[in-house]
Amino acid sequence: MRVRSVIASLTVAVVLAAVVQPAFAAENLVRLNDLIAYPASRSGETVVFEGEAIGQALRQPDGHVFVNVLDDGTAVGVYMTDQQSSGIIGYGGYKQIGTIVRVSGELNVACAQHGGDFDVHAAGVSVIEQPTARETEPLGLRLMLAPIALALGIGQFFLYRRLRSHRHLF
Amino acid sequence: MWVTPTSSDLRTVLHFLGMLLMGIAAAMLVPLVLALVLAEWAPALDYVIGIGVTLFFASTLMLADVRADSLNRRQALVVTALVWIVGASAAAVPLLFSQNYIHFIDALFDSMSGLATAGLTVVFDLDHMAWSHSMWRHLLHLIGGQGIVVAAISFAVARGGGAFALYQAEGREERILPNVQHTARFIWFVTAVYVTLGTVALAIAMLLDGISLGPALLNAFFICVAAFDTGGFAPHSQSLLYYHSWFVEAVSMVLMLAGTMNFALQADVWRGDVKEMITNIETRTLAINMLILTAFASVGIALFGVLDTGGEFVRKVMFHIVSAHTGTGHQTIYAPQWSLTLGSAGIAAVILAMGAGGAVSSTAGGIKALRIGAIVKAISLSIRKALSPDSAVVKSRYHHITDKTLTDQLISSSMTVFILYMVTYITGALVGMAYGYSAGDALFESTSAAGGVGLTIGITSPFMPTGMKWLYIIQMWAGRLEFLALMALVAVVIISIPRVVRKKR
Repeated sequence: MRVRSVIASLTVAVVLAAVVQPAFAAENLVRLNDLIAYPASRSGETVVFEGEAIGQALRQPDGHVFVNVLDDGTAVGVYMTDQQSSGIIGYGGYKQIGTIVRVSGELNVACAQHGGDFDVHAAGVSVIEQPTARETEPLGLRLMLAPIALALGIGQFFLYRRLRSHRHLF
Repeated sequence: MWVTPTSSDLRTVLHFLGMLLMGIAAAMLVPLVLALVLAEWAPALDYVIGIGVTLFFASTLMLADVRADSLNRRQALVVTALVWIVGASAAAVPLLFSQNYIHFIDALFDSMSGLATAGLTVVFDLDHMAWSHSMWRHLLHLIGGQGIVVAAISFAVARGGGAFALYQAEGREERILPNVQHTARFIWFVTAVYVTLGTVALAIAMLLDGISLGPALLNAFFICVAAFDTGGFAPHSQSLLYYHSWFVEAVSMVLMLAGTMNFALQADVWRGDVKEMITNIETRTLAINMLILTAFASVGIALFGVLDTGGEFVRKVMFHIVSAHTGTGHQTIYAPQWSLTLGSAGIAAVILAMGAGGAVSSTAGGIKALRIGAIVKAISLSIRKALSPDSAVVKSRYHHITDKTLTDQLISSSMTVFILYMVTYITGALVGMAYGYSAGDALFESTSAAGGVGLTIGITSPFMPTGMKWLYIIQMWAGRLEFLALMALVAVVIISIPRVVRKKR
């Protein structure tokens, strides 16, 4: 009877952990806008955040790479191993949204290893979403305005040139 | 005596304004070509529209007086004051279409910031901006850093008369070579040498860091131009922190220091007179000021306890003092971290460095080292006079290209500019405080805008109040022209009002 109740309790605990953990983890996600306002006293804490890998991976002399991760307009450098960065197959720029990653790692408000830079040393990097093409900017209005503006500009310029060449008449 | 401008004056002003605008239209060809090469079709059309609109307005303005060949000093002052705001408006057209700016004022803010080599930005989603738009923003640094007028003079605009008047009106005081057109070309030559060397050095570093060739070249060019022209824009929202590279920061520091040097001094060094670097009052003032402020900030920061090693002090303290003093604005620290990492002493040192600025006749902003040196010498002279017998003739000498005696005229003009800058810094801070920002933050941002620096403590963003955007636009404009041209424009408008009113009656 006692063994049964222990097993039942453990089962309930496991089920609850499975259901509640993702929600708990999501609550623990920090936004980068908040992260960059952390004081130095929070250096060494483990932080978890999600964001888009942007630009390109920047190779470091010790074989690691820096990947800048962007979240809501703020980007932070994440120091990771080559292997951790291997899942990042696309970096964000004008034409694409880079791989979306979840990073957990140690926060360094003034990293002693990297000249006092604010960075995160990754313990784990997981891919949330693979890169996608960015929505192209609409051309319609531009295609209409461009020839009109150019024609007006060139026309006015040639009018000026013509009057300038006959300036002795004025 | 106040001379009321005539309609002929106005037509001449409009004509030359149009000619200078033509240069902005021509410069838009560079991002247009880049957009076509990189298949950025929407931005390419943005530049076609920009070129068309600018060409139309430039030609219309030139039609105001098709006979104009020269302009006098008074007209030159007004042209110079107007071309910065009209030029910035034209330069904002392609940016407005880019989806990186929410309103026209945001695009205007960045184009003025680019031209005035301030580097403050209200861009939205910079990390996804098209390369061609990044090129345009940095090209504005290049055009504004050398001076729109210098650019125009070197291409023989205003060849007849008034070229030197235009040159002076843009906040430059020295004619490096006897001919002002040669002077303008020399400025471009020096710039080309530094930009080429800097771009190559930075591109090699970026290639070694694993950035591919095209982005490495573009990133290197952008960072180099922004550093040498003491601008401060960057292609990424993290500014130089994006690169995580001490080498990129070191090269940028060299370029910032080179950009803040007087072009007349550069000419002397170019001719082999390296001693001038050591004896010149400006380099001495800059070196002493930077050392004092770095020491002051370092002591404060050491007590604060966030930074430990010498390397960290160089990369976080000295780098930002140099960036602030040269009026550049490259940043390797997040805005909220200023107070958390550097503390009050560090922030105070950065504000003082931003306010002081670089050398006269350079790409830097702020009060300028020659004026600060002259004011310090004047104070010392006053003390010496007070301690000397009545019959003694006490003079103060200084070295600036040649040996000179400190004159009342230099002291007076230095004090005038000093007071005007201080009034502008403080007025901006008061307006910022009225909008609800703290006194320290408002003073930091105001000094950064008027001094043409670009470091931000977090006020400047696409979401700041519109009134603050206008305030900083005016501060950047006034600071870049060192007030004279702008005040001349205001005076012309005021003295013209009675004439217009009389005509209407």
